[in-house]
Amino acid sequence: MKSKIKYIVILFISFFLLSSNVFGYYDKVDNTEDKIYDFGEYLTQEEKENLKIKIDKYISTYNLDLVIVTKKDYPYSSMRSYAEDFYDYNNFGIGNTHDGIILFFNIDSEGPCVYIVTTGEAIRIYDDQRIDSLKTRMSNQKSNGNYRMIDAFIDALDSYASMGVAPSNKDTYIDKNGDLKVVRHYPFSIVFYSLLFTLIIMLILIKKNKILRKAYDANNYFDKSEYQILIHDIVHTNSSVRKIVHQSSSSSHSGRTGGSSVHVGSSGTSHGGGGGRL
Amino acid sequence: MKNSSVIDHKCINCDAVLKFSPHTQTWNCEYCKSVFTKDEIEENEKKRGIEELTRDSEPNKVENVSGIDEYLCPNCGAQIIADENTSATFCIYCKNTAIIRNKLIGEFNPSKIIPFYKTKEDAINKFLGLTKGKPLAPSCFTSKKNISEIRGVYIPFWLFDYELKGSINMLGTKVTQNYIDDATYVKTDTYSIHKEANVSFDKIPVDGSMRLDNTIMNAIEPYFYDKLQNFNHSYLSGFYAEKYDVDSNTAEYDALKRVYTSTTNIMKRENENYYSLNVISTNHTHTRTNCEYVLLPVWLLNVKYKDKLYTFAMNGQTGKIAGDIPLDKRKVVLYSITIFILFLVILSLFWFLFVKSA
Repeated sequence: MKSKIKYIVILFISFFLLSSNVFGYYDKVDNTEDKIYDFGEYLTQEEKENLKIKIDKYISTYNLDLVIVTKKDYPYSSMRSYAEDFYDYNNFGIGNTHDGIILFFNIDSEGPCVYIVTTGEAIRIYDDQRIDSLKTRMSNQKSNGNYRMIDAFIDALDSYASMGVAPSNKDTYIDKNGDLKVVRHYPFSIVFYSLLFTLIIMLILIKKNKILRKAYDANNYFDKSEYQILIHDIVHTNSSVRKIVHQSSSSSHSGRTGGSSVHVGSSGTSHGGGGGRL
Repeated sequence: MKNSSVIDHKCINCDAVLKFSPHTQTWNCEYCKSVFTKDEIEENEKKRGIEELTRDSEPNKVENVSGIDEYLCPNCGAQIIADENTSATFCIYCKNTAIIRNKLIGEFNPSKIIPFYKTKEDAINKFLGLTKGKPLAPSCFTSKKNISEIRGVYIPFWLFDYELKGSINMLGTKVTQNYIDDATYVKTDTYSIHKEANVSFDKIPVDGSMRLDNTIMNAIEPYFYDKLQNFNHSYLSGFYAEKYDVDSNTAEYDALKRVYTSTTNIMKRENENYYSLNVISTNHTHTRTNCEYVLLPVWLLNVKYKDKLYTFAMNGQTGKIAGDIPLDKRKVVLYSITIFILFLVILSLFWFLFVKSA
């Protein structure tokens, strides 16, 4: 009996973990075409429809998915995981690399806060600087209400998308796994180093032919048994101390490639983005 | 006692010319195969009435025309021409060794000699193996047919002994590092060091011949002085020899330069626990405690390659050979291109496989 109860408990926990995704909690949606998931109930139906028109236009123009999800009193520290899992496990994104962006809008006891997650080509378009700018644009509309903040967000997205890839990411690409990679140009320093090593080796080989060496010392004829130190004075004349401070690297990002901070979500997909309080 | 200008060594059994053998350190007759030790040679010379050459021997009158001496071969009577520095040579007709008396007496009488231990064949073999491990050397350089001349020569050397009082002022630094929190503290202590020491050097060789390049003679050092023998002109049989034309006071300049450099290096070397050590000033003084005039064995090879003459010298005692080998220009270009391409390919492959895809 006891072992049966044990098995039931294990089964229940496994089911719960699998359904909720081991590393985080997200809401499963039935219709990924809606694009606006206002769980926080911040938007009226009319506002949602207006935003949906802009979202559809954005998607068709730039071939990037765009998802808005809202919640109320969601723990701030878990917002990134929620946004990433919501996007990945609900299969948002266009193409093999799931290109797109999700805005997670949340209001807790301290006020509105957002997390913006980018995937695929969206990582290249919205670098860290542009993400900060998106947050600023939203923040500027804080006094005008939640709809205005989200509307400003979409306008800013459109504006940056029309400019194309962020300058800081111009030497990057998204590989078939959706990871952000730096384009490495063939370094012509290889030619320089090849020449340098060749020169060193040739000098060694040429030196082998030069057997003649003038003798500059008489070490071979030094009589060690007669060597006697008469005076050996050592005077400490000066002391100085130099301090070298080591620059500590920021631990707030998982990694930085090009101009975007990149993080691997629980699904194994790479995401860019950023968040904060407005 | 006979006091002829030219001395030779003859076999007491068959009167043929005797030659010194480096391998056996004996005197051998090539005709009757008799072998004589040093004591037997000295006994033989006493019997033949040949005088011992010393510093006190009186010189002979010799015909000299513009630096060239003329002698008569004691074996065949032919004329032997030798320049003023040659003290042993050969008669070009009968190949008899001709040891020229005047060049080995008085101030030119060497006190010691190291006999030859390496033969002509040793010298040729050493030369033929010179290009081993030297890929830029011309392939046909070390060929017997390129050897235009090979001579075993006793070279005049001055051996100097010195005692020095070395005095040196140095500035040394010691560095320690400590890591505290996010910083490294580097402490540098500076020390002023004054040192005085007695330093001795024994038998520093400087060649006493103007026509021989000092660099070549330096390159075949050292000689092992435990094999130094009291001078006996019999050792010159079968070899050339020269007397000095650079006196000890002139030759001493080279020895002193080496000795002063060594004294500074030796006194500096003992302070190895300093991070940096710079010599500020030195004030060494020296006393020459001994100066000896000796003859040391050298095999000289003249090699002709592409109308250019190259000189090689081999230490007649140790077999150490020295001389610059020419570069094969085509090989230099070929090797340079090959090595460059190799590095380019390896580094590019490394970049493509490990760096590009990172």
